[in-house]
Amino acid sequence: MTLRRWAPLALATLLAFFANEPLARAQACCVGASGLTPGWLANHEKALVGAQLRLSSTHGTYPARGEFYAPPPGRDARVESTIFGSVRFLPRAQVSLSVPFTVVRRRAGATVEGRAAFGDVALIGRYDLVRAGESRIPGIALLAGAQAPSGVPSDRATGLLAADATGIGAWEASAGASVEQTYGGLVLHATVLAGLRTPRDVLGVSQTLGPRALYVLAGGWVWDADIALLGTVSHSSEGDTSIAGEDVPGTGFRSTQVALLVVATLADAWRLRTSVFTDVPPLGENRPALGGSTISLARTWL
Amino acid sequence: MKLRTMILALLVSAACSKTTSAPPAEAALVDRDGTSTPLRDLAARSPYTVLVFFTAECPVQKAHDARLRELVQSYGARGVAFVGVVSEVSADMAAERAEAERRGLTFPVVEDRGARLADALGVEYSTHAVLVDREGRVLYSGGQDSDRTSLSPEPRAYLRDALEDVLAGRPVARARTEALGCPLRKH
Repeated sequence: MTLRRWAPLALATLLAFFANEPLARAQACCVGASGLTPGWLANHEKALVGAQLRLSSTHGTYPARGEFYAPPPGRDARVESTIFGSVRFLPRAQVSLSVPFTVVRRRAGATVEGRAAFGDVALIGRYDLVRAGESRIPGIALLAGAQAPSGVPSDRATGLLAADATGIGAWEASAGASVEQTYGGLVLHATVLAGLRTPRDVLGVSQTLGPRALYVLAGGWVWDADIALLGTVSHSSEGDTSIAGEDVPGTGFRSTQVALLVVATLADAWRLRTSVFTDVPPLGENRPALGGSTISLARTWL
Repeated sequence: MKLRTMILALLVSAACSKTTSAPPAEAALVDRDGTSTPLRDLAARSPYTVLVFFTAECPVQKAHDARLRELVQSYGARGVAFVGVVSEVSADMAAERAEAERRGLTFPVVEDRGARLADALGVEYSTHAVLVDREGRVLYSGGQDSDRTSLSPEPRAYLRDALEDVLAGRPVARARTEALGCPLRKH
């Protein structure tokens, strides 16, 4: 409900800001905010394939309706590798597939478990109604995606600590939009994405995870050598789970993350992207607080 | 409701964004003195004219400056005229001209007001080069070469090849290519 109420207002505000006449001037070339997501194709790119390594660990936890706790009662160390590929099938449309494979080492007291499993495969498409930089109207892209339950949901995970829980166990359909504009080397970006999950049986009872929402604000600078430094703030939330048709209060979550990214284009054919990120209070709830880093390398084709 | 209307308008605008490549003989280009010259008259001054859609800040153009200077020098001596065309809505023409001169790009830089020429030619990115003959017919339209910001030792030299073709009296073998420059902020 919150998303439905605030998204149009937020979008209109961003459009008005980004279209500000005095700010409208020449543009950066290529990488821009496509570097925010390793799979997105930048201007002129026809296709890419790449891999990302994401290392993270918990540095605290947000209980339901409670304060941030650190150190946590248990500790996760996660290594997640993702293979991704994207292709542009129309001048303004692209689709991106990602296949995650996760290794988790989880500790709680004296119990330590390590597991490895595939995560949920995701397919997401993007259509650029307006490209960033081509008009005083900011770049506007529509997003739509689907996620398959190829990972292991927590109820089917093995071991005491369910270290191989790598998926949500349900299909997810998502839709959203992003707004982006460039002012010389300056890049500003915002994304809103909402997802709905299909119901599934858990121990003979129908369960539906709550709707998911993701909000991303990003800004940064792109140098002439096509190297970008970007900062992001993202907030994700999930509504309460419904079990046997009844919402169960306190089962949803919220988390807010900040990240700093460096994206470099090498020889117009490779894109190196690295980031550090951390969950931050106070907008966390019912969720472990993570921190970590990512590195990805993609081969692109013009 | 307003948001829905705006999204619909954007969808229609995107769907209609492919423009024609018919020679826009009436498109007028404004020079340093404020004189407006139709493309037809500009093209009539030389056997062949290369229109280079120019944005001083574009890193792709900066990367190609040396190659463009070399083309101007080589083909200028063979009767080919080069003209920089600025089509961006917010361009500071004095700054664009000063920057072109500072970087040794000695050709005249003209203003394409309202981006009429860029729209008529379907030009979307700076560095895009259009070769026209004396009648204003488009003989080649596309990139200066196959490189973006990172210059390779042996790029596909699209514009040079097109110039060689026309100067040898041959049809241009590759008359359309993709320009890998910066998006032109035209409107």
